Amino acid sequence: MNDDPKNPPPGPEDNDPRLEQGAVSDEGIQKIHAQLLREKEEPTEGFAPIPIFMLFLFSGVIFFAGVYIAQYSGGWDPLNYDERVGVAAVTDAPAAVDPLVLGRRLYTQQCVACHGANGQGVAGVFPPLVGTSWVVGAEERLIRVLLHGLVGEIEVLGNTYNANMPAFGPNGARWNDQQIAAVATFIRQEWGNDAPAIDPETVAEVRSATAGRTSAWTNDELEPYAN
Amino acid sequence: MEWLFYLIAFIVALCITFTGAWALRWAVRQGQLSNLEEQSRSIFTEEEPEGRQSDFFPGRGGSSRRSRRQR
Amino acid sequence: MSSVSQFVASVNPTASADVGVRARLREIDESTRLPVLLFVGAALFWLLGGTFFALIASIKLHHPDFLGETEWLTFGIVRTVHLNTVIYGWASNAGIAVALWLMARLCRTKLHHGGILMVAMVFWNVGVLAGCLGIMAGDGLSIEWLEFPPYATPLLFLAYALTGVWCIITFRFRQSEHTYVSQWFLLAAFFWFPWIYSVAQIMLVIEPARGTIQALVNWWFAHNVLGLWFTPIGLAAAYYFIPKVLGKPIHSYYLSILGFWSLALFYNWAGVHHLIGGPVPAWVISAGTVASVMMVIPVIVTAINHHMTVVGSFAQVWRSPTLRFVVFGAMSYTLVSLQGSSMSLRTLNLHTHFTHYTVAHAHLGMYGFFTMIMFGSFYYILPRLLQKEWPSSMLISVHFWTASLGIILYFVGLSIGGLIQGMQMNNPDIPFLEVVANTIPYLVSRSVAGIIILVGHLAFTVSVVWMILKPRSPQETSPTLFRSPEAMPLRPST
Repeated sequence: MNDDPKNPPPGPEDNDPRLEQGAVSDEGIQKIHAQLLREKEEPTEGFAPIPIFMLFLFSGVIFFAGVYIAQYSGGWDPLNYDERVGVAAVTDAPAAVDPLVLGRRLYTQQCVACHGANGQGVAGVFPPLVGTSWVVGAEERLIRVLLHGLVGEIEVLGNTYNANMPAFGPNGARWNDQQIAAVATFIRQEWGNDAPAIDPETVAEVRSATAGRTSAWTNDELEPYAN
Repeated sequence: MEWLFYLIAFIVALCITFTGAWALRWAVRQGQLSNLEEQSRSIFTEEEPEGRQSDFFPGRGGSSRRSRRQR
Repeated sequence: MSSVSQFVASVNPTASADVGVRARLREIDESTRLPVLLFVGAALFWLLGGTFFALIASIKLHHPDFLGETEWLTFGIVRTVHLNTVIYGWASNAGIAVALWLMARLCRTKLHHGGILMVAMVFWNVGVLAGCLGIMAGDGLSIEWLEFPPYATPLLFLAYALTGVWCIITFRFRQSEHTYVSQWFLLAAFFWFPWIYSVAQIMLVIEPARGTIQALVNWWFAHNVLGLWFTPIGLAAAYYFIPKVLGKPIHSYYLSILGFWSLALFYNWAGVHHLIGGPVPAWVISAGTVASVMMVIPVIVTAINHHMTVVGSFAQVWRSPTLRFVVFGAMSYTLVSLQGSSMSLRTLNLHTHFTHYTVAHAHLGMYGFFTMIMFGSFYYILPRLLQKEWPSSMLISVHFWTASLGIILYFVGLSIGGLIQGMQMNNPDIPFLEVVANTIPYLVSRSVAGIIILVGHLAFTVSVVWMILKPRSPQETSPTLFRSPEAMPLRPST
């Protein structure tokens, strides 16, 4: 309530029929009714003007909308899903990817939950990645494990582990050759590991060699590729 | 068959648009869009007139001595 | 009805010339009693059910093992059942109840053909029940907002068509000269919903369209359930109750008409902004974004209108249970709509998409706006239907405070959590599981908010049941809410 009851604002408000109606008396009601009935007959002006600031606001919104749709129309092409086309000439030449950066990113997203931020695994449950021939040894065995996963008992650095390694290839996370190669390179060169990088072409070879496989490897199946 | 499907959808969309335009035209011709300030009072009746609040928490200022006396 | 006219004459003998008019208004309310009460009862049933399912789903998000061994209480089912019970059970029943009452009143005609409404009510609720049981049995469809299995939807559509027919009949019987803005909104809602519902059913379930068109239709439908069904009913109620309870006409009636037509023009384009980043032609998404931004016009118009009507009368708002809820709802409408427009911009959407921020937004819309306005409407309608007063001020206060504080806690908690979640998900160096774990405190705050809200709903239910059961005191020929308090004259508007 922004008006002080002790100092009613002077002026036309005092004649406001609603004010009088507030202080109801029978006489008052009759008077007001008479007034209202009379007023109903009088034609009043139809259109109250829009507040001027709203006109500005509406103009601004419409202007923005026009600019936005022109900017992001994508050339009105039904086959174009990228709104930037035609604006900032997207020259999607794929930028060169540092396998270590991509590998670290994928590792923190997918692998760290089991193998740990330091590649140490969890004692007795998930095998470590540091210093083991599974990682720094033969390239093909590592790629096969990444592509299709691994089940059953394995021995790593003298300890026996029995857990499920999920597949990241066609039956699992559907990583492409570049992603598999990046993660493999990352774990081969991180935490003191120092093995040569694996390139996507090698992954592609292994992928085509194992095409059609739908289940994870076992230790015995991988034995021929250990060296 | 698919073209038939889209043809029907297109016709329905046209009908919807047409209905909207028709409603607007009807409103204008009926005078629904003129005399607006007066018509905004059409919700008030003798029973619940303009200038009176018509809803309260029960028992808090809702019942006044005056209306009891009148009854 | 001689007792009615006698009563009317006895209350105000000076207005004896108007007895006919006055009696008619009461007769209208009485004629709507049974259908409206049935819809209100059904709405309350689904409100409680939906709240319980919401709580279970919410708790499962931070304690995944909770009830995890019961097949029909897994998260995927519980969350879906929650959504469908509150949308089709609570909100639609409540919206129809309010719409019927408003429509009859604004048309100044007694309710004709109440039988149609009874049949519609039975069909609708049997349909919702069958749909929910179907979802729990595993028959649910994987289409957002259309999860009801195909055997439930014809019932819903039939019920809907009956209600729409009733609405048109009533409008044709109208005794009022002017079509008030609320009637525009209601008629439009009853016209729009069958359209979007049937198109979505045909293009998604009966004869599924190809490819991304399905996604487009899906979000066009889901957003328009909010925009072309719930929003018009909520706004119709707000445009009626705010001026009605305050006893002063809306600030600018012209603006309210402008708001209606601009909403009709823009809202049904807006749903596509849910597909930003998806495989949809770029210009379609841009058009959706532009329409969402253009929604600023009807929203600002509505906000100014409601605010300017209420300003200077806040004490009166506080004294009225109806207005406390309705004004809260109207303020939420402004907030949620402007937030929605901003979220449709690609720049912000980049961070908020697929996060709890969107969930908070949706609940501010469906609860803070629509549900609160429905509560407020019930507080006005039920005493007039039953000719009784609400039994307890305290229960109303409990309901108001729990509902409003609950939704505020819900919204603030999940919005902050969602923003953090969005920022972290866009940072590739943070593992996904860590991002998930970081949201847990906010998810817990949501469960707390849900419990608070549940308390309010229980209070409201007790209130309604108590009110229906309590005998009408012999002196109470009309609710005291009717009696206009000379103690509180309307202040001159400044």
